[in-house]
Amino acid sequence: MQFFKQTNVRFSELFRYALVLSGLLILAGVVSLVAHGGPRLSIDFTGGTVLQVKMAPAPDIGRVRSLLESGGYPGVQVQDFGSADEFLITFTGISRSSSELDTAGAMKAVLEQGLPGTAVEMRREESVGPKIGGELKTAAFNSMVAALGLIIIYVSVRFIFKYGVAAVIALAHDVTITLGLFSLLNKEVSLSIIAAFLTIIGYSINDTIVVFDRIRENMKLRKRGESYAAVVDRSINETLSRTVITSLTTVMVSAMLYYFGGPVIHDFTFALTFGIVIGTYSSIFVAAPILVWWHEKRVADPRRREAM
Amino acid sequence: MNRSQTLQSLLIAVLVLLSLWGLYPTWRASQVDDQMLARAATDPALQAKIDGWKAKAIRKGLDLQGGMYLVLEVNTEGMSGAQASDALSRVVEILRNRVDQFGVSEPDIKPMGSNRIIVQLPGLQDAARAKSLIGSTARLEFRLVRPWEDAAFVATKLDEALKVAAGPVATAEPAAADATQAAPGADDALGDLPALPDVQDAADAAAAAGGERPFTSRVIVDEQLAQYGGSYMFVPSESVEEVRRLLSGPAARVIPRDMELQFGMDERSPFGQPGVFLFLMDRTPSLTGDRLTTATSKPDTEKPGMFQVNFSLDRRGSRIFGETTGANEGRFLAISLDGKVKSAPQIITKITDSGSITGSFTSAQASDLALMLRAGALPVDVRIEEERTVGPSLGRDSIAQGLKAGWIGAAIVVVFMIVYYQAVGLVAVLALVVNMLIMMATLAQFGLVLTLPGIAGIFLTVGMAVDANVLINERIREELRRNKTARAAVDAGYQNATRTIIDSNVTTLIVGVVLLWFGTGPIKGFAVTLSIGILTSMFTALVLTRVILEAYTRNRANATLRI
Repeated sequence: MQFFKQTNVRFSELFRYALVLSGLLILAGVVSLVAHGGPRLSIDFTGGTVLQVKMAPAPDIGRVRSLLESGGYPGVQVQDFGSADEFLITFTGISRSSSELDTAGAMKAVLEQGLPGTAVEMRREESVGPKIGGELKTAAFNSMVAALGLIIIYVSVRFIFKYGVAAVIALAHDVTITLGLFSLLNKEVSLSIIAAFLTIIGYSINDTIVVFDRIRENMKLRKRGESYAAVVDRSINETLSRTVITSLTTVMVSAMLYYFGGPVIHDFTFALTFGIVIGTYSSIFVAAPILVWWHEKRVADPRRREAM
Repeated sequence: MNRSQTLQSLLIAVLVLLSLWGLYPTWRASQVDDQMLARAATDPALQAKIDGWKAKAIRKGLDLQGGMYLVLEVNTEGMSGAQASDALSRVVEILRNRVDQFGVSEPDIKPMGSNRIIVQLPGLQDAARAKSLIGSTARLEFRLVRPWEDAAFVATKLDEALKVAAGPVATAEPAAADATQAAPGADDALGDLPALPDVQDAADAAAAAGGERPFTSRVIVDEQLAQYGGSYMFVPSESVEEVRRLLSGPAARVIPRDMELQFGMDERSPFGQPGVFLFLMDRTPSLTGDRLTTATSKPDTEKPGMFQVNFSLDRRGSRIFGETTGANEGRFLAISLDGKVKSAPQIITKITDSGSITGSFTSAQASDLALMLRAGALPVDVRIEEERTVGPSLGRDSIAQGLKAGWIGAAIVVVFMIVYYQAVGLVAVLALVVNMLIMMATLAQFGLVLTLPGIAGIFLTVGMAVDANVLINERIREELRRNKTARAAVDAGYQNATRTIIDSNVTTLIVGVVLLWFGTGPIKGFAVTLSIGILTSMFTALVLTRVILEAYTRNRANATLRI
């Protein structure tokens, strides 16, 4: 069985449509990010407390919210989590008894008092102080910069500098669009989402390198009169089968993890699944066009004619 | 097969066998059920076996087995670097002491950076209690142990109060069966404690003792005991919980207001029977730990080979301590940390600004006591800066869901590979299986922690590991299209794909390493499995599948490859 038999798509002619598509995706995300005043950060970065509680019998969600609101936690958020009797309670404000050591425990006590006869099981609690939150924010930012920086260096050494730049622009494209989607869907960016972003970077660069490697190889076997764009086209066509199949197998796994892996890693696997798709797209439609564009600009400059 | 292929086959076989061997304890540990645990309770050999498997099995992260992760910050403002690091190690010591109470099997407490401490308590049940205990500041106190008359008096009072409280029902309580020997002040109590009364006696004794002497039937009260541990009461290990329960009830009200009972910190066996001392002492401390300035352990000047602890006090402490020790020579002074008595030395002579505690301490015991004194002397402010707790039920759900999702995903990949690449796909699937085997064995062997994102990482590498095989297979297809023989196609396919595989995987590995550096807890687990997965999948794709495919094509000159 074979999906592709020696395709011959002229990708370089599709690049301008891709430019429009990518531009629109990025624009939508950026508009949403600006409108919301930046990504919606989780308590990992802002500081605050999260409780995942299971209650039997399941109370009305509005009742849970009003109990906590009046119990000293103004602005508390309550949402369904996974099943009808499970709730995720997020509190980032300052509780009325600000000196309390155990905010999660105090909130649980408020619920137990307000809902007599209801068993409240603490499934998970997370609490981050504002100081550590700030540090985690810096660490998350640094890790992204470090990953991109190291990739530029490695690709520049193994290939040439412009390949490194093209690869990193494609990666930034992937992360920006995924971040924008999270903002559009009003999903929180937490530590594990940063981990997902890094994984997307890792996956997308893998894909890009395979295409670049083929371009490099084909440049050496370039036929007389074949344009640079034609070589890129041929390289993408030759690796197309591999690109699609690898994405397919990886997406299949991450989609299953998304559907069946449970609510705790729901957003994480959502980011991964979307990121793998966008990363595959960007290897072909972002990284490769940058190479073509860069090359043509150089060839157009008569003083700087060179082979590659 | 040529020589290098034979070597490679051998290497693969050895790795697979090693992996299977490394995973055996994990498999056995996963088979342990309630029935087996019940049998192990009476069979120490089986229990030892189970413990052995568990020790060598893949370690589950806090998010999978439930537990608590804390980052504490110690307020070191205004301290010099050396003072701060000393303060940090003292707080770590206090925490270790407190955490012992939770019955957590593998607590992990370690300093991080200049002013933080990471506490990990796997399997913890009561998060609220743990937090309140960990967050409170240490309380080191010196309290005078009350004399023998008071101890005997309180013991009698407790007997009376508990007898009334329990009523006639108490006579049936079997827990009192072993306690006939321990009459207050009985001279022979120390001598024949371990002896068991015969059954009839025991039953009678239970009726009599449980009814008449609910306290002294469980606690040995004897004047001679003081020479062993500075106290007149000793609770054998098996009765500790029961006595604790009795003392937390209303009967404890008969203890005079100016006295208090505290248990000893460490288990002792002064006459062959393990247990802890119970101290009756002043409710008001003679001195609190913040008056201590230093405490160090030194070799004992009089007993060679033994150690002592020297300490010194600040000016106000010296005055108070001078008064206390001067007026109470010969009595015992209990050193209590967080409500538990570490040691109760006898006051030999008046002590003012500095003193020493001697006894038959080993080097370790002495430095332990010195550290405890310094720890209690440190009124530092400890705050919980970060907390992540997962209940055991969520951990179980996470494992079940993560594994189910992963296996479904992996099954789809396997079916797809075989349908799409046929025989060569089967080889790739074999490589996947070996890949997972080596990954899991690596986790077990190096004691790495498996987390929920880690499980996702394992299955995700299954998706990605296919990549190397796809690269190779697509290359082989291309070469076959150029009318090469199967053999030449396989050779050329591997040659061309190897460089691509290495370049693309190294970049992904860079990201894995960044993740490893950035992440803590569950995310670190993800980084670990992802990085290991990249390495093992490179190995299986480049070595394992090649050996198989080359062997297949080389044996037949005109072999065809359906791909």
